[in-house]
Amino acid sequence: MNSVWYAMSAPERTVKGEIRAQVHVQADSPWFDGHFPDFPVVPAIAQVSMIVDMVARASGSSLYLKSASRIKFKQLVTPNTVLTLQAKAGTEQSQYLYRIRAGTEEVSSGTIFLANKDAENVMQADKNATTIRVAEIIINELKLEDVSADTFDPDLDLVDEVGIDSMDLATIALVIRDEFGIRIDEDDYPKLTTLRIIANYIDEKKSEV
Amino acid sequence: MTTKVQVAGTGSCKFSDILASPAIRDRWEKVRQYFFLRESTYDMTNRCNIRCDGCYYFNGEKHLAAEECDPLAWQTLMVEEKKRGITFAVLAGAEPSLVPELCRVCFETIPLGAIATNGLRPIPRDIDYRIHVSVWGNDAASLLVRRAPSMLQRQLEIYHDDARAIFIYTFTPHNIEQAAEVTRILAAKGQRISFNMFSAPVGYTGPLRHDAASLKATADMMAKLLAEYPDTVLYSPYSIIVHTHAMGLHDLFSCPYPRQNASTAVGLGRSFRQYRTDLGWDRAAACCVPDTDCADCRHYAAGSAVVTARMYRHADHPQTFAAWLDYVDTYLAVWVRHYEKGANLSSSGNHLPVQEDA
Ligand code: SF4
Ligand code: SF4
Repeated sequence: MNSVWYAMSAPERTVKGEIRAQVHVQADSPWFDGHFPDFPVVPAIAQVSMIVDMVARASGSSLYLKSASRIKFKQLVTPNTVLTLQAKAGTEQSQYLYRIRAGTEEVSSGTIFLANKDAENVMQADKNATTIRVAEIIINELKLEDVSADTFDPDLDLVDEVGIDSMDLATIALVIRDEFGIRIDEDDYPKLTTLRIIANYIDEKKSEV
Repeated sequence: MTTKVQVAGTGSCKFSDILASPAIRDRWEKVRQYFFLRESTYDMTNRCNIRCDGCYYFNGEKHLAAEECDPLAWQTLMVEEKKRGITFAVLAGAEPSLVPELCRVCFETIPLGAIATNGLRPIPRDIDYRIHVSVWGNDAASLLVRRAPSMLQRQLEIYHDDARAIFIYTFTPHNIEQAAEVTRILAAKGQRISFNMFSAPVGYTGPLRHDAASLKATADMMAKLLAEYPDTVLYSPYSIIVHTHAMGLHDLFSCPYPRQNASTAVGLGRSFRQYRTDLGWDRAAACCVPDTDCADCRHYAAGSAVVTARMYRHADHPQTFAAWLDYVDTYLAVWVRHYEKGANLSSSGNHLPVQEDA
């Protein structure tokens, strides 16, 4: 997809690891050509495509839709509507939960599974240099065994699943502060509970500088 | 006057540079081995063999809870607590020595813990928890405030050869000078002492609440005793600063106990519970000293959690971090059996990572 079909703002990642973007579907988008000439609407599959596009842009990988489930379309989208797209990694590998809204109205939501065109494995492709380095720091500081930076699940919950507590998180935050030269607010580090959230946080902070 | 607390921890010094000092790194490696400690506290019985003025246990409604006296019920609770990740049990209100069989069940399931006692009844030796024996002044003062004669003498008879015991001296505005006499007696007997500050229960209007003059006099006395009896007094210069500051612990550090912290994400807000004698608990009231007035809270048990939890904001400068390490080293020596305190790293202790704006 490209901006001829719609205009998308640069995707942002929140501290909680959610990816967000805004989309404006122009009245002259080719999508409206074949869909109800008297009553143009954005086709349902196009909405899922936008989400795939947003996640791909956010992770810098070329992704495609492998499967979808529990998709609900609640409202038709007419030309010149501004949509808010949100997606968050689910608990399963390559899974994303998404939601699209027009203003406060929910347009659609559901669960999708993505795959990487090059590597087939989103989890691996998702790991940029930041993620790898953070994985190394966590493994080193927490003295974790049986895991390497390459095999570290970026969505593993460090508190719930690894059992670390606030003092360990504070330690990791201090090492990250040193290593990446960023300022971590005291209120923020308790929220940095997965590798993905930490890496996103670092990348956001670095882009602010 | 408005008071603003500014949080440091902005990374003016790299953490790795702070740890470049061998003394700091060694102490850091020593204390961080105890980051696994996760406490909860348990009221063991609603009875006490004495009645002290200003007792926080008999303030509020805690003492109205029914008593669960069945060791099996306590064992079931402790097994559940262990599953929940609790690794340190603090047995408190009112007087745990009255229910040794319940204390034993706790120890057998969660092997690390501490018991707060008035020290007038022995606690069986097989319950190998740290024991905090409370002292509120010399025996004349104890007779007045606690209505118990010869308290220190009786406590020393019971704990004379018991390595579990640490005497906890609670400073009120009226017993500051007596701390010298008590410390001298304890030093002569080879005992160890640490300090507590009287912290007013909610609604307390009596004479034990500290004021600016008594805080200053207490700080001076603590510093004198720490210098004179380094092998007897378990304390640090930084402990003195934070526990005798005009601002209470909550205003200085923002208390992370559930009572003052809505977040359940990590730390005390997630795991801490304060059980009543009926084995019920209430998140909204949960802290180690419930019914204490947060604005006046300088309690030693509170500080052990509140100051320790604020590592991040102390990791800004080697001296500030060294002061925090001294605090944590003290807290561990006071609370954990077989943990030995090292010499304090910071001599002045005046490294509070907060500033007050007038
Ligand atoms: S000994 Fe402790 S529990 Fe008993 S009345 Fe005194 S302060 Fe309260
Ligand atoms: S009394 Fe002290 S420990 Fe309890 S919530 Fe208030 S400040 Fe925290």
